[in-house]
Amino acid sequence: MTQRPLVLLLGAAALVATSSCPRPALAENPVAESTALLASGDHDKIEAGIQGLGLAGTPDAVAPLVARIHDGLPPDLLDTAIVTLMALGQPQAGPVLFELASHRRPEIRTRALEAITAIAPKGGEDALRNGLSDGDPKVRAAAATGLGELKATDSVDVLFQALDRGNMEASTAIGKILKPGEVSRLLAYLGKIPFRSLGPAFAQLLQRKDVPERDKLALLAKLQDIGTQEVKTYLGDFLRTAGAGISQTLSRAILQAMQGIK
Amino acid sequence: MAHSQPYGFPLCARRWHASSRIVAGVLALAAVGCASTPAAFSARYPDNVQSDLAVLLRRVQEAPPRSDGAIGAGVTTEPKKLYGYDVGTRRVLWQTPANVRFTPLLAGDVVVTQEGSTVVLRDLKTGRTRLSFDAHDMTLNGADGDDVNVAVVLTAGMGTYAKSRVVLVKGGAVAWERRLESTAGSPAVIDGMVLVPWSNQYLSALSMAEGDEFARLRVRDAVLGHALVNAGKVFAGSQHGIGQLTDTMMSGNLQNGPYLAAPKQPLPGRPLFLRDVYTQMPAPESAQNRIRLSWLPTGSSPHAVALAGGNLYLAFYRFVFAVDPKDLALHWVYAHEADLVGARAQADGLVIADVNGEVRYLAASSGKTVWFEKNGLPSVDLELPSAGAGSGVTADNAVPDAVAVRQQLVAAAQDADARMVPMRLLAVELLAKLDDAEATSNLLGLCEDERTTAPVRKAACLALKERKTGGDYLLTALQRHSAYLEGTLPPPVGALAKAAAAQHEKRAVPLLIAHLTDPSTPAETLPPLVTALADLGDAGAARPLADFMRLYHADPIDEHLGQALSLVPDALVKLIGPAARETLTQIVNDPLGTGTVRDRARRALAQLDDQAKAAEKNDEATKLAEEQEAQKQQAGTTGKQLLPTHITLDVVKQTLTPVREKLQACVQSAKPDAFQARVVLVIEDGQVLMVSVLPEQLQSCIEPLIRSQHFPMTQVSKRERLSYTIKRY
Repeated sequence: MTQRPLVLLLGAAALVATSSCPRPALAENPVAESTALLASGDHDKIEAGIQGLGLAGTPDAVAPLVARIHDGLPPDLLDTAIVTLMALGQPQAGPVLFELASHRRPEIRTRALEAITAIAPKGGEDALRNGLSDGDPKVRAAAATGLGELKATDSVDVLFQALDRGNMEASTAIGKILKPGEVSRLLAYLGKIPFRSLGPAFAQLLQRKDVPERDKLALLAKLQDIGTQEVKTYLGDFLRTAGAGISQTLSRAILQAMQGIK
Repeated sequence: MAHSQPYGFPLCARRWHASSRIVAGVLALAAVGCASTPAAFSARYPDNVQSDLAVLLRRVQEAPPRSDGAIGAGVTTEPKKLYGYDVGTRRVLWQTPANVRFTPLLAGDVVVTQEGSTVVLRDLKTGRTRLSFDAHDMTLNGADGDDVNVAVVLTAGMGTYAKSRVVLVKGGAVAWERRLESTAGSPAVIDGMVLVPWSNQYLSALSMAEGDEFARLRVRDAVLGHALVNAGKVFAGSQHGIGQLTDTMMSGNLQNGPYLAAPKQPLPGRPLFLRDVYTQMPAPESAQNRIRLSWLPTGSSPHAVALAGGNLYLAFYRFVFAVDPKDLALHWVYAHEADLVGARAQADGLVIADVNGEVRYLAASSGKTVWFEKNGLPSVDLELPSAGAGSGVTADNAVPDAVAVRQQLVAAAQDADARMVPMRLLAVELLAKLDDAEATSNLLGLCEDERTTAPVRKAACLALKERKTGGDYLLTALQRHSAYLEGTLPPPVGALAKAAAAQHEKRAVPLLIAHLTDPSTPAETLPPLVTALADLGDAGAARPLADFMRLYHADPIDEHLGQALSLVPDALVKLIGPAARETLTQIVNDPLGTGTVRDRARRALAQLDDQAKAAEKNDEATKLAEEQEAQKQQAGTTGKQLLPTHITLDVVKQTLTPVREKLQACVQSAKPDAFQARVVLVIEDGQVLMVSVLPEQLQSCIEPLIRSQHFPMTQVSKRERLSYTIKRY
């Protein structure tokens, strides 16, 4: 299962989980009825309306939701609305999510970037790249994660820039999208920034199917050269979590590398 | 209080004056009889006697120029020593241990100090003690001298309990001493006279030979605490200002003549224009000796006292500001490396001394160093002379250009010394007065420099909105946004928004809108941002403002955002008027919205309603006016169409209205009595062809009245016959 459907599923689950109100009964025209609820001015009815639109699951549920967001919502309802948009997975939600990526509440911005990651609308990568410059670390983390999820290979440079500024999630993202031929660029960071910042990137690279085995072994050799206990522990942890996700050759090489580190 | 007496009375009678203060003096007068002149400072002495003051003025005018020395006196750091420094030869002349209580006073060729309870006069050239005497329970309060004579004033107590001594020292001995039951200030010695200011408003002129008072000035419009002599002129005044003694003072109004008021604006450290002689003198270590004003009165016009170089010098720890004494316009700024413990204006410049013993002479016009010597003593105070530093040297008279002055101010405003904040605020204020567009950029830099002390930043930000030039710098700054990766911070959006609005800089609108929607824009800057968008009057800002209000009206994250939101309704009304109604109605009708924002929206709607009603009334009034105008025009151009089709009784009544009372009188006066008159009229083309009245006896009374009126033309020309009744009432 790829990450994107997983996020969508999580969004839908959250939608159901956040409901504290009785769910509206199924109706002949759920979008119209839910839209009517959105105009009620009553918190619970609006919430029911948002959820009704989410459960309707049709593309025409997006427009009333977007309109209601523009009309202004308390933060909890706004969060529910974004999760609903995420669950609906419709790219036409993109513009409103881009707007919400500049909301004054960092948690809303974070949620908006998660939704952009899940829906992947056109222009989403730009919004995520902007998120790397956000003043809030959680938003920046969500942006980096999103760029990794979307395999935004055009964003490698800016992710390295984020890594320079201590964005750990950028490391993971780089590990996901770095071209095999550019691994040396990541290796150049060894010794310059804390190893713990690079670990997530290496873990991704070692697990990627598109990275040739020889490049992985070369990477492993570099790690062995560092030869610190931190690297040894890291390799042990990696081996446990990766399990069957890596080749036997690589597993053996990792074990040998660990043994080589005193 | 004392009053001037008319001339022509015997001396004793003329000098007797009524005064509540000296009622007891009347008895004393009786006791001493009219045989002698009252003693100096006597309450019985008359003030503002024109002949006396004329003598004083004549003697002042005829006085030969006093040669002021070039030697100053300083007090070293511990162990405390008194020393003499010659600014002419630029060297220390002598030094001697001395436990000096107060700032030394330069008086002619001596320095006067108080050491314990002893007043000591030392020769300025040699440091040798010329004379010392016991101050008893008093403290030194002023001194002045020439080549031979030194007047020393001591004082004690305040108000009713104040008392003073004026001691004249000639050579190495006390020539005479006079006492008074008031506070005496800093005296002046000139050509055989000692001028002593006392009791806030008196200036007594004493003969140096006998110590007798021969003239007394009492001023009603100023405070007197100091008498000064420079360039053959005598000045008197206090921390509030100084005036030159001229014949205009005879009325008792110092400010009527040449006068210079102290700056009204508080200066950094609040230095006094002149020391307040009604408080004790400062110790040598006092901060008053590091924050001081210095100036040298020179020429004068009929109403103004001019200062040497046109400068009022403010020395503030390490800085010197040369400013215009009236409007405080900056001439130049000088920054020194160490604290200044001495500063004295001279004819062509300012001589300064620092804590490390460096003495430097700055040109009056440029502030550039003319000379400096690092051969003084580490000091807590150095009282410098008013002459001598410029002898034999040529000052740079080039006035610094605007760029140099601005750079001096910026450097001063950025000084990191924590004690300098008041001075830095002054620098910002002066920077804000410059017309130079670059000054806007400098203020902007100070406004957004987080390392700058908060009050200085705030002052710079406030000054920005008063700027009339440098709009491009505002725009450039507004283009910047906070970006974590680039390491940029938001500009001071609030200050920039106010400045842009003040400059009517409409190019700022899109930039301000970008900040409105940027979450990194500090919330506290949002209210001024919204206000600025409203003030700039660009309707294009209405949509973003409306979107902003709708998005957050149910979620005002903090008080600043809440305040900004509450400003949006009025802004929308201002920008787009009735077109804001839909958005405002939506906000009012949203129960999830914040009360404050909804209230403001409601008020804005009410305002729109009022405007609409007013407009409606205006429309009606306009319409009515237009109709009336149209009727007028119609009457003028197509008057025929407004003529009656025929003569009716109403037309007759209306036409006869002017003579109605007279017609009634005809009927009432009928003999025999008549209850009415019946009139038959024949009219054609406005002409009355026939008038027939019954009863007949009223014919002669009524007919002329009817014929006197002009009946209207009719649309169709024809002869008309009407019967009209005039009833008696």
